[in-house]
Amino acid sequence: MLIPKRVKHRKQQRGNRRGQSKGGTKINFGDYGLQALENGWITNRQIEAARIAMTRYIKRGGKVWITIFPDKPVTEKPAETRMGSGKGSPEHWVAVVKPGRVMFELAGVSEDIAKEAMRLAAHKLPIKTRFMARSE
Amino acid sequence: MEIKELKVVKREEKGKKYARRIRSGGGVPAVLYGHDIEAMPLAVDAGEFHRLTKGSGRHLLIKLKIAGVKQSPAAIIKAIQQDPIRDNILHIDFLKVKMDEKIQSNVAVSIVGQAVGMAEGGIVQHGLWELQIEALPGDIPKNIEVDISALQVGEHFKIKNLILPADVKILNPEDEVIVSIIPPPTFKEEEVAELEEEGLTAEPEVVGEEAGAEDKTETK
Repeated sequence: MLIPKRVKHRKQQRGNRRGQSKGGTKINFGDYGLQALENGWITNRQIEAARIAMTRYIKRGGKVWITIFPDKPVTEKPAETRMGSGKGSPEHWVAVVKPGRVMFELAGVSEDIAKEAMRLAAHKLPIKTRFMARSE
Repeated sequence: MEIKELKVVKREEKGKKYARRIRSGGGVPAVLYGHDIEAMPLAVDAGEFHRLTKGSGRHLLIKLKIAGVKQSPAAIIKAIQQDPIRDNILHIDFLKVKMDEKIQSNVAVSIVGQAVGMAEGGIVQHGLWELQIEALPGDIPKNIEVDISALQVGEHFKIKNLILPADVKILNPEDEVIVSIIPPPTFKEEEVAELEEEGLTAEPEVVGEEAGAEDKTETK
């Protein structure tokens, strides 16, 4: 699963997810893409699940690019713990996604296969998405 | 390069308030500039612009018929701002060109033929989707064709392999790869399981902290 190699700080504040994506809104590597239509936190497990769903469907003959990276640690307090006594420990990693962000790209397959693979991948994600093809 | 005509209107008002008003009325704010003229704010009909670019793409030479202006300058589309979600065009930049002066422009790469390596399961991977060229506006090709039919798996098509007309100069480095045929990625279920386990247990190194220092602070 995707995880940073080195970090400056173990824990981060939550930040905001307002507005639209400033970059990564176009298809850069492949022929087809999966674009976010909502904002959200995509965990590294969800990214991995989506990638596996896609690669299983296309089998051989396609290449997948993941264009988001889960670089934000999310902390959780243990169950049945009283409030206070500091921030919880890092539990998982998320990628902050805003509307317009292309999250996955695909090449080397036909449009029908790409569409179905992206549909399967989208089911693993917590946000609304749309399929897009490279325009001229 | 194709030459097409587009009717545009000179606009006096500037700023987001007026730009929004133009967009809500079915238009697109635009600007025309060049090195011998002052920037001229324009408004274009969105439907007409869409019809103009449909099929021929955005790499074309346009004769701008400006209402109230005698001359109709030739221009190329320099930049288009687009809403990433709705795909609406928000703003267009036109660059005025002289037909006897060379300009720099981006031209799309189009792949021709089926690579030999594709029959063996190879995947076509683009290194470049567009090439930067320098030529006279009338000589700019609509796209640059790359014949990949002789490529095997693991082989590349570089810029130096291109055969171009004499009046077109490519500005990208010669060694840059345009297209390569990569071997198909192998996917094994066991590898996935291993990776998942690694991801669950691994924790990244914290910059400036020694290994094991974290555990000590946690136990205090």
